[in-house]
Amino acid sequence: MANTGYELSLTIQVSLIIGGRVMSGYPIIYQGRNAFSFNGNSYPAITVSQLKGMNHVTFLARLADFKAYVESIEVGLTIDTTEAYKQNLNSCPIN
Amino acid sequence: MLINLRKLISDLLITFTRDNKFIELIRVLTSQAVDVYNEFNSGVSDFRYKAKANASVLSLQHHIKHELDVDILITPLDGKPIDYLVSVIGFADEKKISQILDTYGLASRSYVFDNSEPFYSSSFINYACESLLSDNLITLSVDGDTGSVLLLTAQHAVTSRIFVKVKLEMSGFINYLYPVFEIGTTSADWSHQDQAADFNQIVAIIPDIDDTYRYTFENTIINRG
Repeated sequence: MANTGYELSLTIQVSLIIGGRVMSGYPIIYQGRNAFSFNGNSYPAITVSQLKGMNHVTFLARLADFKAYVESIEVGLTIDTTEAYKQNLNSCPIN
Repeated sequence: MLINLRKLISDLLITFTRDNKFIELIRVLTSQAVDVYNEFNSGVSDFRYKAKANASVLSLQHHIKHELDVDILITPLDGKPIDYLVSVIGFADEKKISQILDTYGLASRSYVFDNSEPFYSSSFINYACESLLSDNLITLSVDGDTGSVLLLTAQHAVTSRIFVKVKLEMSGFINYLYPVFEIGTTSADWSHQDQAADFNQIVAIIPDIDDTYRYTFENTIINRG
């Protein structure tokens, strides 16, 4: 498989901060590669290799539901998914 | 808790003994106890303050007053999950207060400002490099090698809004992988034809029903056979 120059992630680290301090029990790491269900959609567990080669439409769909899933648990959290998929030619040089 | 002891005494007396003389007699007899009780009530907030105050807390409060000219009150909590509650009386930069607290005291202890709004932060971690699979791939082939005209034709029918990755192959010398881009909805095959005078830069214009997508492949060194 050849790198596209982009990197992607389905792992979110969440921190709850009050007064500049991270609260006890945080940060929490949510792993979107694990199996989960949300909005009537079920997603199987996937490996890192499967994530790397995942069809982009499938990735975006899973990412959207994963974002909503985490936001439903951490009420008040808004996840910016633009960082989930980004170009990084240093870590992932096109080849 | 504040109690009106005089009223309490009269209420607890047997009915036939509730005359003024008897009540006054009882009041005199219990006056010392009432005085002690009232003194306790007036001093209880002061007792609480002194019980919680210690050298480090008082020093910090004084130091912050000196540095930032703001009064703060540091109140010990039970440590679950926070050790100290910091109340700010007035307006001050919480970051500066935090810096002083972190520098001069409350080592390894957690504290929170009682007027702080909780907020979340989130970040994506554990990135993996995206890799091309054949089912993600549209191959653009170069049709002809005459002059400076490139004709790129995608052998792929686009029938819905999709994301594609393009692999640009030219004369067997280059495999340029252009990462994901989006093709708008169209019902026909799409193709590209463009003229590039300088082959160090190839501009791909992909017509679409709604818009024109323009992609620039910059700094791509083309060796033409």
